[in-house]
Amino acid sequence: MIPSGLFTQIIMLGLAIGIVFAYVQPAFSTIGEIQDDISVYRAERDKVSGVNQQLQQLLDNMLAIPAQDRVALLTYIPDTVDTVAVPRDLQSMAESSGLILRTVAPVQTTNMQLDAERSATVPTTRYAFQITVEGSYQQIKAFLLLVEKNNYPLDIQTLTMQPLEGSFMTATMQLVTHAHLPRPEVAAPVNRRR
Amino acid sequence: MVDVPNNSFIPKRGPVKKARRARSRQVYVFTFVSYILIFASLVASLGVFIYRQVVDRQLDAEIAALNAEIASFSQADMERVTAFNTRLQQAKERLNATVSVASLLNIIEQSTISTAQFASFSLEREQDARLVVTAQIETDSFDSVIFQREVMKQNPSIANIEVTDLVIKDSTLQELLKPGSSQIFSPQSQVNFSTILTVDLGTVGYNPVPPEVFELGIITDTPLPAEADDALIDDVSTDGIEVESGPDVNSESI
Repeated sequence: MIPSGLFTQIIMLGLAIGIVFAYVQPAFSTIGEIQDDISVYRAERDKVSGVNQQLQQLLDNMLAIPAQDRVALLTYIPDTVDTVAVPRDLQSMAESSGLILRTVAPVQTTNMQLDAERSATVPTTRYAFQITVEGSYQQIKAFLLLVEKNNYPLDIQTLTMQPLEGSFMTATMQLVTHAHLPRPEVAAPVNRRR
Repeated sequence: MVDVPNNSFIPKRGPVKKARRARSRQVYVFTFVSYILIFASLVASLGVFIYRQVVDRQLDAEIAALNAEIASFSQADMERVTAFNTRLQQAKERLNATVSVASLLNIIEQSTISTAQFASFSLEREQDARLVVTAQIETDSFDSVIFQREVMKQNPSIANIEVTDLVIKDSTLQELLKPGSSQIFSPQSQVNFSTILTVDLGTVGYNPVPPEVFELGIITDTPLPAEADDALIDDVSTDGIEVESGPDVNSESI
């Protein structure tokens, strides 16, 4: 017959082992996982905090630029090009150069995405304008100088000059100006759930 | 019957009591270990339970802090900064790719000999890489064609020159051969040829100067300050060649 004292001790030992394996060990594992989660959350928080600080710094830098400069940038690369204002400016430049403006009209609107893939430029939206003027060679050069000095880009894509009577000539050119083409949207931060 | 007197001097003895033997209190190792283990497991359970609560609270605090950081992120600000940066890069790219066609004309003027005359001129921009100029030029002799080609070759701004469609037109000879013509023979002739010039954009880059602002069709003299450009665009290459019209410029022939 087993003595009752020994039986109790065996029961206690079994109970202790049961407690350890049934509660303490799983709880320890869970605590380890939670601590890992805490490390991950802390690292992510540091990342988000870093991004926020960097964003704030960039925003401060942006706002530190004088308003006049920002307006100049918006003029140089606007959101959209006014297809009436550009011909009006070209007409003003032609008149200032003493040229006779024959035609001026918008041609097409494209973006430079394909060009960007080839030449690694930042894509822009292109607005092309065809203009035909008549005048002397010096007047045409003066017009080209004015085009270059314009406060938004007018890239001369094509230029053809043909002589007319006397020292006059006709010049047909295609000018391209650029508008801002937004990049693909930045992905919104993912809300992490526990 | 005689009563036996009960007054003996011999003390009476009671019943013999067995001497109690002291029980031995032995502590066995097994008992000790079992007690230790049960108490240790109970203490460990309590400790783990409390630590679990602490760690849970830490996790909740971290999640709350992360959510607060995420909430403080401004998508609108990010879009503003990104759009501004993109626009700035676009402006920089366009500024770097700006070409002075007037400078190109000056270069061609300087490279045109006095006996050459342009009959037509066309220019085409190939991406942001080069300009291709195609021109029909009239000269008086093959020597002039060769000389013209050499002069253009010597110009460092012209990357490549190609002479094509070489045609000699002797109008005087043709007149002479006409029936009934009374003209006498003259060695005067005309040599026409086409030339294709390739000019890299970098060699005719535009050197920005304070612009004349066009506002509502009126040219105003309100140029942007130089520091404005510096603030917006840095590292912009503006090493274009500015060719001034010299006394040898043959602009009349163009």
